[in-house]
Parts: sequence; C-alpha cells; structure tokens
Amino acid sequence: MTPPHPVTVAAATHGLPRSVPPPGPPDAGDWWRVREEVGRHGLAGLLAAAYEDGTVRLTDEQGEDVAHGQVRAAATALRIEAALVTAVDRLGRHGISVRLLKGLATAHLDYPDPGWRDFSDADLLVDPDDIDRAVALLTVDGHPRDLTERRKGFDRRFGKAVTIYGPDHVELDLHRTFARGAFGFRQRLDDLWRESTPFTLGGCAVHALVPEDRFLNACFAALFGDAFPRLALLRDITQLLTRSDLDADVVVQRATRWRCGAVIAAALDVAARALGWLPPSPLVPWAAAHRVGWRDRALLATYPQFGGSYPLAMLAGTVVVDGIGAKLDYLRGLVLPDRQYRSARLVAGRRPEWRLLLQGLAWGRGRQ
Amino acid sequence: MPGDLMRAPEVLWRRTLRGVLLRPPRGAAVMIDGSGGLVWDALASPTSVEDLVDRLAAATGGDRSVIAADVRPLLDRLRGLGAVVDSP
Repeated sequence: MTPPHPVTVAAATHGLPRSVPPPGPPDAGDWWRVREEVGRHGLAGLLAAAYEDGTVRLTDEQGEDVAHGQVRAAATALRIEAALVTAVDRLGRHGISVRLLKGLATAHLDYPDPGWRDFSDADLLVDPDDIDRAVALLTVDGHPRDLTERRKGFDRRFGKAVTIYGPDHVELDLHRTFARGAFGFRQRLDDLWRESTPFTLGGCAVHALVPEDRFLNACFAALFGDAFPRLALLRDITQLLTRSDLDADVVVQRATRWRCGAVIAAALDVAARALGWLPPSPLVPWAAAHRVGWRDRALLATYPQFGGSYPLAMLAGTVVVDGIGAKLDYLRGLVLPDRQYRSARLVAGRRPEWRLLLQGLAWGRGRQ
Repeated sequence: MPGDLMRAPEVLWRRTLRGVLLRPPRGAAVMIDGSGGLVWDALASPTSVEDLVDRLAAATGGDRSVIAADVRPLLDRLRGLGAVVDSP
C-alpha cells in the first residue's frame, strides 16, 4: 500500500509532542490525493486544527477545502450525537445501561477538542443479557436493523454487534464485544462493566469505558476494524498513550486475563510504523518484548489485516468458544443461519458467506 | 442571576474554521460565525446581556452600542432555536 502523503501524516500526528510537519503546501496534483486520504482516514478535524495553527501550510483554495470538510465532519458528528442521546435516554428509561465506545467517546474524553476526532457512527457496549431488549427498543419506531439475527439467541451469546439505522439514518452499533472471532470471545466482558467514565453529552449523562479499557478498545478497533487500519484509529491509540492517568499495569493485567497481548503488541507496532512515533509509556517496551505464541499467530492470521477474512475469523472463533454444546450452537449460527437471515443478505446484495469464506481462504494462501 | 442567559445544556456544538456549528434542540444545525463565536464562548456560564456586551467591547475594542445592536438579534435567534436559555 502506498504510504500516506506527508500532509496526511502531519494531520494524523497534529498536537502530539512529536508531530511531523510537512515541508509546504502540496501541489495541485497532490491535493486531490490528500483530500481523499484525509476523508478515508477520518482526519478532517485534525487537518483543520493543523492548518489553523500553521503546522500545515496550504494555499487559500486548499484552506477553503479544509474548512468545508471540517464543517461537513462536524455536522455529521452532531447528527450522530443527537441520535445517540435519544437512544441512550430511551434505553436508560427502560433500565438498560450502555458504555459509549470508540470515536465518539474518545473524541470527548481523550482529545483536547472533540472536533479533532471525526466519526461516522455511534458504538455502544450493551450487556449481553440486555442486547435483545435494547434492539427491540431501538427498532420499535421502524428503525431497521442491519440483516436479521442469524439464529435465535445468536446476538446475545455470540454476536459482535447489532447495527441499527436509527433516527436521522444514524448507524448505531450495539456491541456485545470489541471484535468478531477468537479475540472477541476471549474478552472478559464483566471487566468492562465494573467502572466507567461519566460525562455529559447534550444535557444527557452518559458513560464511557475507563481509559485503560478505551485503550484496549482502540487497539482492537485499529487491528480488526478494516484490512488497512484508518489513521484516526491509530491516532486514538497514540492519544490514549499520552494520558498521564493511563495505568499501564491495569492494561497489562487486562491483556493477560483476556489473552490478547498479541493484539496490543500488533496494534502498537502498526501505530508506530504508520505515525512514526509512539509516546513514552511502559506499554511500548512491554509490547515490543511480548512473545506471540504460534496459537495466537494462527488466530491473528484469520483476520483481514493479517491475510484472512471476517468469515474465516468467525469460523476460527469456534476454537475459543467454551463447551461442545456452545461450539455446535455457534457453528450452526455460522453455517446454517435462518432462512430470514440468508434472504436478508440476498436482499441487501451481499454474497453468501460460504463464498466469502472460500475467497478469504484463497486470498490468505496467496498472501502467505 | 435571574435574567442571565446561558447555553442550553441540550445543545450540541463544534468549533470550526468558519465559526461555531450548533445543533440546537429545535431546528436544524446552524453556524454562528464572526463575533458570534465570542458570544458563544461567553455563554459558557450564565451572563447578563450587559456583561456580555461589555466583554465583547473589551475583547474587540468595538463600540458598545454597535455591539449591543448586533448581539441582541443573535441572542433572540439563539433563544428561538432553544440554543440559549434563561439561567435558573
């Protein structure tokens, strides 16, 4: 993959103790590329901040483009926040607590200005026992969910998240875990519900994860979100490492307990290579020294970023599911989903999963 | 104090290069640009209109009566949108 343009990297590192200022305004030929990268990597807010304080120098015309992109990203963020407040309020009135995840939470809690962190959806962690009720409450007004449940009980027992297109067409992702597949199943979900970081959003009291769990969430999101991680997600990792109250011991304890040290080590490695630097933290040498065993290497290799595919990662999750009965139930959900689910995939124009699985296996072999 | 104004807690907002983008409880998103951003900053805590005008005059060096004539319609508009409310 082509390395990002220096202006894109400058935006991604803006405000860090060691940012990377570019030499000068990009020429007209490069500007279209910068705009595309900034949009794809979710850096409109950071680029605007870097341009405003002179870290990134641009022509007036390019500056206008940046201002326009920032307003668009800000309007999107506000639309999402409004929908989220409505959803959290509705769930709260029915006794369902949630924890805000990823971009929206980190924008408000970890960046100097929430406008520095673009986001395009709202992610909420829901207790597995509440997830069916939460889905019912948020779809009652006719807001659709993405596909239907694979089989009855799958979302609650094995799902990663349920996507609902809520008010104003805002995508609300109701998460049970941070990730699909083996590393999602290894998470000890009860750890995430013991404490929280509260804040106020639009007059509504909301709760996010504590910094250590936000850091773990950022690592999972960067590594398992896309085949090529967005720079905004890698910046989240770096941003959280700059927090003086991030307790590295707690992160290591969690990572050990969840058997996800390989995820943290790989995420820090990817972030360091993409951004050129990581803030000083005890987690950096810990991750560098972390030995990833053959089993974890094999599990990582099932994910798209490491040459696998989502169907393959989900299939590999069977290894980690506890108990023969549960393994069979999980496999049944993957291989023999209900007819409504299969029809919904077809209606949505998505290919059958067995075909994706075969494609993923072939691609993985090719990459190896 | 009674009669003071403040931002409505429900309003969502972002600062941008073009001004402050507000998403008030009522109506669509609205941009307040120029010195509107200073007004928004001042309304972070309850403020009387007189104090607000004094602060803007001090910050910009502008004429107090001109500022007052500009600020009042903006405050009326923001109140109409539910973005600014009376302090309890």
